[in-house]
Amino acid sequence: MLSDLITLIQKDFRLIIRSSVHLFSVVLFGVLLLLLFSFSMGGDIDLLRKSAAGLFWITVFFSSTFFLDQSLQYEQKDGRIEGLLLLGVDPKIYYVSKTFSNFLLLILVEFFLLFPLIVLFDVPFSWSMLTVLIMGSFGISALGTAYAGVTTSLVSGNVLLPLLLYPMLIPLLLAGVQATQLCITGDLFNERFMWYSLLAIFDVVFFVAAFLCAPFLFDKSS
Amino acid sequence: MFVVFSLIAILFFAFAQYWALAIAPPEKWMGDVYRILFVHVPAAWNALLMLSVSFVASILYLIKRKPFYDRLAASSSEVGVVLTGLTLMLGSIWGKPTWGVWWTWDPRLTTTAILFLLYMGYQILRRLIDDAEQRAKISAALGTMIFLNVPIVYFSVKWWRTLHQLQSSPQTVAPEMVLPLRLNAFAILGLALIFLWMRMRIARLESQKEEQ
Repeated sequence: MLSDLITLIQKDFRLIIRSSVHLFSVVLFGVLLLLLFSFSMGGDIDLLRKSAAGLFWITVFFSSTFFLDQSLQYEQKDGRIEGLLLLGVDPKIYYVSKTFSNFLLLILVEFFLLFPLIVLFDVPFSWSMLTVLIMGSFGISALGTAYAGVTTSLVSGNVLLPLLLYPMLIPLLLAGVQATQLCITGDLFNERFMWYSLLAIFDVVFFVAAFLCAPFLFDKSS
Repeated sequence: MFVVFSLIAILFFAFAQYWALAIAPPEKWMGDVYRILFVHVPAAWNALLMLSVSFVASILYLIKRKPFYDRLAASSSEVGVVLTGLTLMLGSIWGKPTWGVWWTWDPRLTTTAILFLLYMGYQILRRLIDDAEQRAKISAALGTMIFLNVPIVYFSVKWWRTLHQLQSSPQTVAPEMVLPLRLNAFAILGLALIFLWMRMRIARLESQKEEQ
Protein backbone atom coordinates (compact mmCIF):
# COMPACT_ATOMS: atom_id res chain seq x y z
CA MET A 1 0.00 0.00 0.00
CA LEU A 2 2.53 2.55 1.16
CA SER A 3 5.04 1.61 -1.52
CA ASP A 4 2.28 2.04 -4.13
CA LEU A 5 1.56 5.48 -2.76
CA ILE A 6 5.22 6.52 -2.85
CA THR A 7 5.68 5.19 -6.40
CA LEU A 8 2.58 7.03 -7.62
CA ILE A 9 3.66 10.30 -6.03
CA GLN A 10 7.15 9.89 -7.51
CA LYS A 11 5.55 9.33 -10.91
CA ASP A 12 3.47 12.51 -10.57
CA PHE A 13 6.53 14.49 -9.57
CA ARG A 14 8.51 13.27 -12.50
CA LEU A 15 5.61 14.36 -14.71
CA ILE A 16 5.47 17.79 -13.10
CA ILE A 17 9.20 18.36 -13.48
CA ARG A 18 9.26 17.16 -17.08
CA SER A 19 6.34 19.37 -18.07
CA SER A 20 7.57 22.42 -16.18
CA VAL A 21 6.33 24.60 -19.04
CA HIS A 22 2.83 23.80 -17.91
CA LEU A 23 3.56 24.76 -14.31
CA PHE A 24 5.17 27.95 -15.54
CA SER A 25 2.13 28.83 -17.65
CA VAL A 26 -0.22 28.34 -14.69
CA VAL A 27 1.94 30.63 -12.54
CA LEU A 28 2.06 33.19 -15.32
CA PHE A 29 -1.72 33.02 -15.66
CA GLY A 30 -2.08 33.71 -11.94
CA VAL A 31 0.34 36.64 -12.07
CA LEU A 32 -1.55 38.04 -15.04
CA LEU A 33 -4.86 37.75 -13.18
CA LEU A 34 -3.48 39.58 -10.15
CA LEU A 35 -2.15 42.28 -12.47
CA LEU A 36 -5.53 42.61 -14.20
CA PHE A 37 -7.32 42.79 -10.86
CA SER A 38 -5.06 45.56 -9.65
CA PHE A 39 -5.55 47.46 -12.93
CA SER A 40 -9.30 47.14 -12.79
CA MET A 41 -9.45 48.42 -9.23
CA GLY A 42 -7.54 51.58 -10.12
CA GLY A 43 -4.53 52.92 -8.29
CA ASP A 44 -6.14 53.31 -4.86
CA ILE A 45 -3.65 51.45 -2.65
CA ASP A 46 -5.98 51.32 0.39
CA LEU A 47 -8.72 49.72 -1.68
CA LEU A 48 -6.23 47.24 -3.12
CA ARG A 49 -4.97 46.25 0.31
CA LYS A 50 -8.53 45.74 1.54
CA SER A 51 -9.49 43.50 -1.35
CA ALA A 52 -6.14 41.70 -1.65
CA ALA A 53 -7.20 38.57 0.25
CA GLY A 54 -10.36 38.02 -1.78
CA LEU A 55 -8.70 38.62 -5.14
CA PHE A 56 -5.77 36.39 -4.21
CA TRP A 57 -8.05 33.46 -3.35
CA ILE A 58 -10.05 33.90 -6.53
CA THR A 59 -6.77 33.78 -8.45
CA VAL A 60 -5.83 30.58 -6.60
CA PHE A 61 -9.23 29.07 -7.46
CA PHE A 62 -8.89 29.87 -11.16
CA SER A 63 -5.31 28.63 -11.38
CA SER A 64 -6.07 25.43 -9.49
CA THR A 65 -8.84 24.34 -11.88
CA PHE A 66 -6.28 24.44 -14.72
CA PHE A 67 -3.94 21.86 -13.36
CA LEU A 68 -6.54 19.81 -11.49
CA ASP A 69 -8.15 19.21 -14.86
CA GLN A 70 -4.77 18.68 -16.52
CA SER A 71 -3.45 16.21 -13.94
CA LEU A 72 -6.47 13.94 -14.27
CA GLN A 73 -6.80 14.38 -18.02
CA TYR A 74 -3.34 12.94 -18.44
CA GLU A 75 -4.51 9.77 -16.71
CA GLN A 76 -7.49 9.39 -19.02
CA LYS A 77 -5.34 9.07 -22.14
CA ASP A 78 -4.76 5.55 -23.48
CA GLY A 79 -6.59 4.04 -20.51
CA ARG A 80 -3.71 4.81 -18.13
CA ILE A 81 -5.91 4.85 -15.06
CA GLU A 82 -7.49 1.52 -15.99
CA GLY A 83 -3.98 0.14 -16.42
CA LEU A 84 -2.97 1.29 -12.95
CA LEU A 85 -6.10 -0.18 -11.38
CA LEU A 86 -5.58 -3.47 -13.26
CA LEU A 87 -2.10 -3.65 -11.76
CA GLY A 88 -3.81 -3.83 -8.40
CA VAL A 89 -3.52 -0.22 -7.27
CA ASP A 90 -6.28 0.57 -4.79
CA PRO A 91 -8.42 3.49 -6.09
CA LYS A 92 -8.21 5.03 -2.61
CA ILE A 93 -4.42 4.99 -2.74
CA TYR A 94 -4.58 6.44 -6.23
CA TYR A 95 -6.81 9.24 -4.94
CA VAL A 96 -4.46 10.01 -2.04
CA SER A 97 -1.46 10.17 -4.37
CA LYS A 98 -3.22 12.51 -6.79
CA THR A 99 -4.47 14.72 -3.97
CA PHE A 100 -1.01 14.92 -2.48
CA SER A 101 0.72 15.80 -5.73
CA ASN A 102 -1.94 18.37 -6.62
CA PHE A 103 -1.60 19.83 -3.15
CA LEU A 104 2.17 20.25 -3.50
CA LEU A 105 1.74 21.72 -6.96
CA LEU A 106 -0.81 24.21 -5.66
CA ILE A 107 1.49 25.24 -2.81
CA LEU A 108 4.26 25.80 -5.36
CA VAL A 109 2.01 27.95 -7.55
CA GLU A 110 0.81 29.97 -4.53
CA PHE A 111 4.39 30.52 -3.45
CA PHE A 112 5.13 32.22 -6.77
CA LEU A 113 1.87 34.19 -6.58
CA LEU A 114 2.77 35.62 -3.17
CA PHE A 115 5.42 37.86 -4.73
CA PRO A 116 3.08 39.78 -7.06
CA LEU A 117 0.55 39.94 -4.22
CA ILE A 118 3.06 41.61 -1.92
CA VAL A 119 4.38 43.92 -4.62
CA LEU A 120 1.14 44.92 -6.39
CA PHE A 121 -1.23 45.04 -3.42
CA ASP A 122 1.25 46.37 -0.86
CA VAL A 123 0.50 43.57 1.57
CA PRO A 124 2.88 42.80 4.46
CA PHE A 125 4.13 39.21 4.49
CA SER A 126 3.43 37.14 7.58
CA TRP A 127 4.19 33.52 8.36
CA SER A 128 0.66 32.87 9.53
CA MET A 129 -0.44 33.52 5.95
CA LEU A 130 1.41 30.35 4.97
CA THR A 131 -0.66 28.31 7.45
CA VAL A 132 -3.86 29.59 5.83
CA LEU A 133 -2.50 28.81 2.37
CA ILE A 134 -1.48 25.27 3.32
CA MET A 135 -4.84 24.48 4.92
CA GLY A 136 -6.80 26.05 2.08
CA SER A 137 -4.77 24.33 -0.63
CA PHE A 138 -5.28 20.96 0.96
CA GLY A 139 -9.05 21.45 0.90
CA ILE A 140 -8.98 22.56 -2.74
CA SER A 141 -6.90 19.55 -3.79
CA ALA A 142 -8.86 17.05 -1.68
CA LEU A 143 -12.19 18.03 -3.22
CA GLY A 144 -10.83 19.18 -6.58
CA THR A 145 -9.10 15.88 -7.30
CA ALA A 146 -12.28 13.94 -6.62
CA TYR A 147 -14.35 16.24 -8.82
CA ALA A 148 -11.77 16.39 -11.61
CA GLY A 149 -11.72 12.58 -11.60
CA VAL A 150 -15.40 12.69 -12.55
CA THR A 151 -15.49 15.62 -14.95
CA THR A 152 -12.40 15.04 -17.10
CA SER A 153 -13.88 12.00 -18.79
CA LEU A 154 -17.04 13.86 -19.77
CA VAL A 155 -17.86 16.04 -22.74
CA SER A 156 -17.41 19.71 -21.79
CA GLY A 157 -15.87 18.51 -18.55
CA ASN A 158 -13.54 21.49 -18.28
CA VAL A 159 -16.55 23.81 -17.93
CA LEU A 160 -18.28 21.42 -15.59
CA LEU A 161 -15.38 21.23 -13.14
CA PRO A 162 -15.55 24.85 -11.90
CA LEU A 163 -19.35 24.73 -12.11
CA LEU A 164 -19.49 21.83 -9.67
CA LEU A 165 -16.40 22.60 -7.62
CA TYR A 166 -16.68 26.31 -6.83
CA PRO A 167 -20.03 26.18 -4.97
CA MET A 168 -18.64 23.31 -2.90
CA LEU A 169 -15.57 25.39 -2.05
CA ILE A 170 -17.53 28.42 -0.77
CA PRO A 171 -16.92 27.68 2.94
CA LEU A 172 -13.22 27.31 2.16
CA LEU A 173 -13.23 30.58 0.23
CA LEU A 174 -14.93 32.45 3.08
CA ALA A 175 -12.60 30.99 5.72
CA GLY A 176 -9.50 31.47 3.57
CA VAL A 177 -10.29 35.06 2.67
CA GLN A 178 -11.20 36.05 6.23
CA ALA A 179 -8.14 34.40 7.75
CA THR A 180 -5.82 35.93 5.12
CA GLN A 181 -7.45 39.32 5.64
CA LEU A 182 -6.83 39.04 9.38
CA CYS A 183 -3.20 38.17 8.68
CA ILE A 184 -2.90 41.32 6.57
CA THR A 185 -4.77 43.80 8.75
CA GLY A 186 -3.80 42.35 12.12
CA ASP A 187 -5.86 40.17 14.37
CA LEU A 188 -6.73 42.00 17.60
CA PHE A 189 -9.32 39.59 18.96
CA ASN A 190 -7.78 36.32 17.79
CA GLU A 191 -10.65 35.69 15.41
CA ARG A 192 -8.28 33.91 13.10
CA PHE A 193 -8.47 30.59 14.93
CA MET A 194 -12.18 30.32 14.32
CA TRP A 195 -11.46 30.36 10.59
CA TYR A 196 -8.55 27.96 11.03
CA SER A 197 -10.88 25.49 12.70
CA LEU A 198 -13.40 25.85 9.88
CA LEU A 199 -10.66 25.17 7.33
CA ALA A 200 -9.51 22.15 9.34
CA ILE A 201 -13.04 20.74 9.55
CA PHE A 202 -13.56 21.29 5.82
CA ASP A 203 -10.26 19.58 4.98
CA VAL A 204 -10.88 16.56 7.18
CA VAL A 205 -14.54 16.04 6.20
CA PHE A 206 -13.94 16.16 2.46
CA PHE A 207 -10.66 14.30 2.45
CA VAL A 208 -12.28 11.43 4.35
CA ALA A 209 -15.49 11.56 2.27
CA ALA A 210 -13.62 11.62 -1.05
CA PHE A 211 -11.25 8.89 0.17
CA LEU A 212 -14.19 6.63 0.96
CA CYS A 213 -15.91 7.49 -2.33
CA ALA A 214 -12.75 7.04 -4.44
CA PRO A 215 -13.68 3.55 -5.72
CA PHE A 216 -16.95 4.95 -7.08
CA LEU A 217 -15.31 7.96 -8.67
CA PHE A 218 -12.19 6.48 -10.26
CA ASP A 219 -12.81 2.78 -10.80
CA LYS A 220 -15.17 2.29 -13.71
CA SER A 221 -15.43 -1.46 -13.19
CA SER A 222 -16.33 -1.52 -9.49
CA MET B 1 -54.56 4.96 -5.92
CA PHE B 2 -52.21 7.62 -7.25
CA VAL B 3 -55.14 9.53 -8.75
CA VAL B 4 -57.07 9.39 -5.48
CA PHE B 5 -54.05 10.57 -3.50
CA SER B 6 -53.39 13.39 -5.99
CA LEU B 7 -57.00 14.57 -5.85
CA ILE B 8 -56.99 14.62 -2.06
CA ALA B 9 -53.62 16.38 -1.97
CA ILE B 10 -54.69 19.05 -4.46
CA LEU B 11 -58.00 19.67 -2.67
CA PHE B 12 -56.18 19.89 0.65
CA PHE B 13 -53.71 22.33 -0.91
CA ALA B 14 -56.58 24.52 -2.14
CA PHE B 15 -58.17 24.42 1.32
CA ALA B 16 -54.92 25.28 3.11
CA GLN B 17 -54.24 28.12 0.68
CA TYR B 18 -57.75 29.47 1.15
CA TRP B 19 -57.22 29.47 4.91
CA ALA B 20 -53.89 31.25 4.49
CA LEU B 21 -55.25 33.87 2.12
CA ALA B 22 -58.70 34.52 3.55
CA ILE B 23 -59.08 33.26 7.12
CA ALA B 24 -55.70 34.06 8.68
CA PRO B 25 -55.56 37.66 9.98
CA PRO B 26 -53.34 40.27 8.27
CA GLU B 27 -50.07 40.93 10.00
CA LYS B 28 -49.70 44.08 12.11
CA TRP B 29 -46.74 45.65 10.29
CA MET B 30 -46.55 43.87 6.96
CA GLY B 31 -50.29 43.70 6.21
CA ASP B 32 -51.10 41.16 3.53
CA VAL B 33 -47.57 40.92 2.18
CA TYR B 34 -46.69 38.40 4.86
CA ARG B 35 -49.09 35.83 3.35
CA ILE B 36 -46.36 34.86 0.91
CA LEU B 37 -44.77 33.11 3.91
CA PHE B 38 -47.50 30.48 3.76
CA VAL B 39 -45.93 29.18 0.59
CA HIS B 40 -42.37 30.32 1.14
CA VAL B 41 -41.75 28.66 4.50
CA PRO B 42 -43.46 25.32 3.69
CA ALA B 43 -41.59 25.22 0.37
CA ALA B 44 -38.30 25.70 2.22
CA TRP B 45 -39.11 22.96 4.75
CA ASN B 46 -40.15 20.52 2.07
CA ALA B 47 -37.14 21.38 -0.10
CA LEU B 48 -34.88 20.43 2.79
CA LEU B 49 -36.91 17.28 3.36
CA MET B 50 -36.62 16.26 -0.30
CA LEU B 51 -32.88 16.94 -0.36
CA SER B 52 -32.48 14.87 2.82
CA VAL B 53 -34.34 12.02 1.12
CA SER B 54 -31.94 12.35 -1.79
CA PHE B 55 -28.97 12.17 0.61
CA VAL B 56 -30.26 9.04 2.34
CA ALA B 57 -31.06 7.44 -1.03
CA SER B 58 -27.52 8.23 -2.26
CA ILE B 59 -25.95 6.55 0.76
CA LEU B 60 -28.27 3.55 0.41
CA TYR B 61 -27.26 3.25 -3.23
CA LEU B 62 -23.58 3.23 -2.30
CA ILE B 63 -24.25 0.42 0.18
CA LYS B 64 -26.83 -1.69 -1.62
CA ARG B 65 -26.32 -0.79 -5.31
CA LYS B 66 -30.00 -1.08 -6.16
CA PRO B 67 -31.15 1.08 -9.13
CA PHE B 68 -34.26 2.01 -7.15
CA TYR B 69 -32.21 4.15 -4.76
CA ASP B 70 -30.54 5.92 -7.66
CA ARG B 71 -33.92 6.78 -9.16
CA LEU B 72 -35.15 7.95 -5.77
CA ALA B 73 -32.07 10.16 -5.29
CA ALA B 74 -32.47 11.64 -8.78
CA SER B 75 -36.20 12.30 -8.40
CA SER B 76 -36.18 13.70 -4.88
CA SER B 77 -33.24 15.98 -5.61
CA GLU B 78 -35.04 17.32 -8.67
CA VAL B 79 -38.19 18.07 -6.67
CA GLY B 80 -35.94 19.57 -3.99
CA VAL B 81 -34.28 21.88 -6.52
CA VAL B 82 -37.64 23.11 -7.80
CA LEU B 83 -38.82 23.85 -4.26
CA THR B 84 -35.50 25.53 -3.40
CA GLY B 85 -35.89 27.76 -6.45
CA LEU B 86 -39.44 28.58 -5.43
CA THR B 87 -38.28 29.40 -1.90
CA LEU B 88 -35.62 31.77 -3.22
CA MET B 89 -37.97 33.50 -5.63
CA LEU B 90 -40.77 33.99 -3.13
CA GLY B 91 -38.31 35.11 -0.47
CA SER B 92 -36.97 37.72 -2.83
CA ILE B 93 -40.46 38.96 -3.74
CA TRP B 94 -41.31 39.19 -0.04
CA GLY B 95 -37.99 40.83 0.81
CA LYS B 96 -38.46 43.81 -1.50
CA PRO B 97 -41.49 45.39 0.25
CA THR B 98 -40.43 44.22 3.71
CA TRP B 99 -36.69 44.77 3.89
CA GLY B 100 -36.55 47.18 0.96
CA VAL B 101 -34.09 45.03 -0.98
CA TRP B 102 -34.40 42.01 -3.26
CA TRP B 103 -31.42 40.34 -1.76
CA THR B 104 -29.50 40.40 1.50
CA TRP B 105 -26.60 38.26 2.70
CA ASP B 106 -28.58 36.67 5.48
CA PRO B 107 -27.03 33.27 6.39
CA ARG B 108 -30.13 31.21 5.62
CA LEU B 109 -30.77 33.04 2.38
CA THR B 110 -27.17 32.67 1.25
CA THR B 111 -27.06 29.00 2.24
CA THR B 112 -30.24 28.35 0.27
CA ALA B 113 -28.79 30.06 -2.79
CA ILE B 114 -25.59 28.00 -2.55
CA LEU B 115 -27.66 24.86 -2.07
CA PHE B 116 -29.60 25.72 -5.22
CA LEU B 117 -26.36 26.11 -7.20
CA LEU B 118 -24.92 22.86 -5.80
CA TYR B 119 -27.96 20.80 -6.73
CA MET B 120 -28.26 22.47 -10.14
CA GLY B 121 -24.71 21.30 -10.80
CA TYR B 122 -25.70 17.83 -9.64
CA GLN B 123 -28.63 17.82 -12.09
CA ILE B 124 -26.37 18.89 -14.97
CA LEU B 125 -23.85 16.17 -14.09
CA ARG B 126 -26.54 13.51 -14.10
CA ARG B 127 -27.49 14.43 -17.64
CA LEU B 128 -23.94 14.31 -18.96
CA ILE B 129 -23.05 10.73 -18.01
CA ASP B 130 -24.41 8.25 -20.53
CA ASP B 131 -23.72 4.94 -18.84
CA ALA B 132 -26.50 4.25 -16.33
CA GLU B 133 -24.38 2.45 -13.75
CA GLN B 134 -21.56 4.99 -13.91
CA ARG B 135 -24.09 7.77 -13.53
CA ALA B 136 -25.65 6.13 -10.51
CA LYS B 137 -22.32 5.52 -8.76
CA ILE B 138 -20.84 8.94 -9.42
CA SER B 139 -23.97 10.90 -8.59
CA ALA B 140 -24.47 8.94 -5.39
CA ALA B 141 -20.92 9.75 -4.29
CA LEU B 142 -21.18 13.43 -5.20
CA GLY B 143 -24.73 13.69 -3.81
CA THR B 144 -23.44 12.49 -0.46
CA MET B 145 -20.60 15.02 -0.47
CA ILE B 146 -22.91 17.89 -1.44
CA PHE B 147 -25.23 17.20 1.47
CA LEU B 148 -22.29 16.92 3.89
CA ASN B 149 -21.40 20.45 2.85
CA VAL B 150 -24.75 21.97 3.85
CA PRO B 151 -24.00 22.46 7.58
CA ILE B 152 -20.46 23.63 6.80
CA VAL B 153 -21.78 26.20 4.32
CA TYR B 154 -24.38 27.39 6.82
CA PHE B 155 -21.90 27.91 9.64
CA SER B 156 -19.30 29.53 7.41
CA VAL B 157 -21.83 32.03 6.08
CA LYS B 158 -23.19 32.65 9.57
CA TRP B 159 -19.73 33.41 10.97
CA TRP B 160 -18.90 35.49 7.95
CA ARG B 161 -22.05 37.61 8.42
CA THR B 162 -22.04 38.00 12.19
CA LEU B 163 -18.64 39.59 11.89
CA HIS B 164 -20.15 42.35 9.80
CA GLN B 165 -23.82 42.79 10.53
CA LEU B 166 -26.56 41.32 12.68
CA GLN B 167 -28.82 38.91 10.89
CA SER B 168 -32.37 40.01 10.36
CA SER B 169 -35.17 37.51 10.41
CA PRO B 170 -38.71 38.04 11.65
CA GLN B 171 -39.41 35.39 14.25
CA THR B 172 -42.19 34.92 16.83
CA VAL B 173 -45.25 33.86 14.90
CA ALA B 174 -48.76 34.52 16.31
CA PRO B 175 -50.85 31.40 17.14
CA GLU B 176 -53.58 32.12 14.56
CA MET B 177 -50.88 32.12 11.91
CA VAL B 178 -49.20 28.92 13.12
CA LEU B 179 -52.12 26.69 12.17
CA PRO B 180 -52.37 27.80 8.51
CA LEU B 181 -48.58 27.55 8.31
CA ARG B 182 -48.69 23.93 9.48
CA LEU B 183 -51.62 23.16 7.17
CA ASN B 184 -49.71 24.57 4.24
CA ALA B 185 -46.59 22.64 5.20
CA PHE B 186 -48.57 19.42 4.79
CA ALA B 187 -50.30 20.73 1.67
CA ILE B 188 -46.99 21.41 -0.04
CA LEU B 189 -45.69 18.07 1.21
CA GLY B 190 -48.62 16.48 -0.59
CA LEU B 191 -47.72 18.30 -3.80
CA ALA B 192 -44.07 17.36 -3.42
CA LEU B 193 -45.05 13.72 -3.03
CA ILE B 194 -47.13 13.89 -6.21
CA PHE B 195 -44.14 15.35 -8.06
CA LEU B 196 -41.86 12.71 -6.56
CA TRP B 197 -44.20 9.92 -7.53
CA MET B 198 -44.50 11.16 -11.10
CA ARG B 199 -40.79 11.76 -11.42
CA MET B 200 -40.04 8.27 -10.08
CA ARG B 201 -42.33 6.83 -12.70
CA ILE B 202 -40.55 8.74 -15.47
CA ALA B 203 -37.19 7.57 -14.10
CA ARG B 204 -38.36 3.96 -14.10
CA LEU B 205 -39.58 4.22 -17.69
CA GLU B 206 -36.35 5.89 -18.71
CA SER B 207 -34.23 3.15 -17.24
CA GLN B 208 -36.42 0.52 -18.91
CA LYS B 209 -35.85 2.26 -22.22
CA GLU B 210 -32.11 2.48 -21.60
CA GLU B 211 -31.96 -1.26 -20.95
CA GLN B 212 -33.62 -2.10 -24.25
